[in-house]
Amino acid sequence: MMPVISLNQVEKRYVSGSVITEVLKGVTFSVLPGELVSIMGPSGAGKSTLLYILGCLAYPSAGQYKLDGVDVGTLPDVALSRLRNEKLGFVFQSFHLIPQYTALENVLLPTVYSKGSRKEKKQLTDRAKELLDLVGLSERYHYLPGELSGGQRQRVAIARALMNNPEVILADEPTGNLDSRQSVEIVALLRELNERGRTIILVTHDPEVGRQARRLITIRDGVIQSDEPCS
Amino acid sequence: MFLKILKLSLRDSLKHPLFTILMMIGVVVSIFSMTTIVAIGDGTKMEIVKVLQGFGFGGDVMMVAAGGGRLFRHRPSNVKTLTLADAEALRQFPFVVDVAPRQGIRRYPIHYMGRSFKTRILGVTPSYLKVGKYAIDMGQALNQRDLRDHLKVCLLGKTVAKELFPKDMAAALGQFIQIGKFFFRVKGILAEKGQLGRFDMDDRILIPLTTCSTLFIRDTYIHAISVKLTDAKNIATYQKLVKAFLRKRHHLLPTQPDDFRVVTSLDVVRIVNQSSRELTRLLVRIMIISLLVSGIIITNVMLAAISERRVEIGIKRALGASRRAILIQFLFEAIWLSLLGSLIGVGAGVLVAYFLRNMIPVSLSLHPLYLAVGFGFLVGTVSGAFPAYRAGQVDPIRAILGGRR
Repeated sequence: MMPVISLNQVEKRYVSGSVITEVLKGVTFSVLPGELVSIMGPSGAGKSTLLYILGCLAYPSAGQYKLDGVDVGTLPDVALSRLRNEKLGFVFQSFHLIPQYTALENVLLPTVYSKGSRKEKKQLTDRAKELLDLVGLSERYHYLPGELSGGQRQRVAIARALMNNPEVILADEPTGNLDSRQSVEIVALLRELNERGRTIILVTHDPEVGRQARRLITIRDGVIQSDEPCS
Repeated sequence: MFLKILKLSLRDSLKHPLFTILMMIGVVVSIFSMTTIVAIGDGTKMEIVKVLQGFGFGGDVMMVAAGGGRLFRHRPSNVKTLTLADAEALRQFPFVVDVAPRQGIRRYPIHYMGRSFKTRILGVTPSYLKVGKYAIDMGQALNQRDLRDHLKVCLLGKTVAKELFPKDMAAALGQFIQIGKFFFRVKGILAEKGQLGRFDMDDRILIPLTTCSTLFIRDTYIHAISVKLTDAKNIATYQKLVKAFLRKRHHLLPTQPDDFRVVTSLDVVRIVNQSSRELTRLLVRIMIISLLVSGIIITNVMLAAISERRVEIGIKRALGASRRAILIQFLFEAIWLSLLGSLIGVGAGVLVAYFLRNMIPVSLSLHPLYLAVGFGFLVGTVSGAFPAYRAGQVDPIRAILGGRR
């Protein structure tokens, strides 16, 4: 099976003035379709940087990153944006819903940047509603994020991540701002999505959450320390 | 995708009403003041043309005045260049419908039964009523017999009639009023022409030209001739022909200046336009300043809005918006808000002009609308370009991580 994500000696440096910060120092791994991977490590280990490279929001400074067979490092901004739009779904720690949009509008936002005409609007709205139903928010279509609990907001965010039917869902500390009960629910939801065949990469520093994955990559000081399946 | 982004930008600006209003306010105010100024300026111009027409000085009338020099100068009362024969001779032109020569005296004392008043005395021919668009309210008009026999008859303007016969104007008919030391029979009363500017068109008495010559002016030289033309279209040509004709009649050498003036309503309009050109120049200056000010307001408010909406931009970038898509959204936001602001400004200006219409002359045309649309588009594009570019350059990771990095 061809890996959906493959990294080969990926490095990332930040240059600010004369100070060069090496965040990633040669990271190599690949992810097959349908996997549920946790990336763990202490703060400052380079987890988030790795996630945003995986998420095509940053270019690697060196090395090669292929997403679904496409070498990301050579793509211009417009093509990269399209890749994000079509192949990736993001879930953030602080949910990052647009506060002025209703739940439904937030879920529909990725479709603004996809190809296709507005004629499909009805279909798209139906799909967004289905996704909100899936994450258990069938009664909350027209609520603003401010009217929802943290767990509910994260559910909206997950529905939004699923909207364009992406290859991979990237979750950056999805439970970081939630209480333990809501955390359990969100992780369960992600696991459920994975069981339906969705590839999920989860960045977390919470071992409870990390252990829920089927594969655990530990990263420390910009290098992979361990990469092992977990029970 | 482009259309979807445009739609999104409409929706987003409605979701940030404060920024939306702040961005529009400069454009609204400048377009509003511009619309009002244009409406008042145009209105004044139209009012002047209306005044001229009321004078019987429409597009198809020219006036030959005695004495040369500038078009509108204080009329010299003792210029002896224009004769009744000149007036009659003008009839030979096929484009001349009628001629109305006249003599005039300003502020001449009149009396009736102990009441005194000062008014303008005009010595005219029966043609004058037609050319000058005078109507008879009561009694009769002047006729050729009055003229031939130098009869002491007169037509009263409404103001004069009211002044001398305050109780019953109709009683004036047949009465004898005293003009200077001569008694004139009131033959008719003129229909009201109204106030034109500050000039009272009804404050006058018309008497036969011949009577005026013998009793008051004591000379046959006339002061002015109103010439009614067949059409207004070729008036410039007619003006030249009449000038040449009169120069020849007056035996003027090429080196000598005209001893008369031929004035058309075009000349008047030209002078009006000269003063309105001053207004236009002022308007252009105001436009440039308000263009700058509104532009600066939009740029700054947008920059503030963008830093406020950094997270939103980051989210959109993560969800698949390219730099270009973000740029387009914000640029379009600037353009459409600026356009909307202009339209609101025009609307408000039109509304104000509408309410002012009874107090001052105003005129509404489509010009401010075109101006506003062009202005709105220009200001929006120019002042939105830089902030929109900045929005496109927002680093999505920093925006998303917010305080975390």
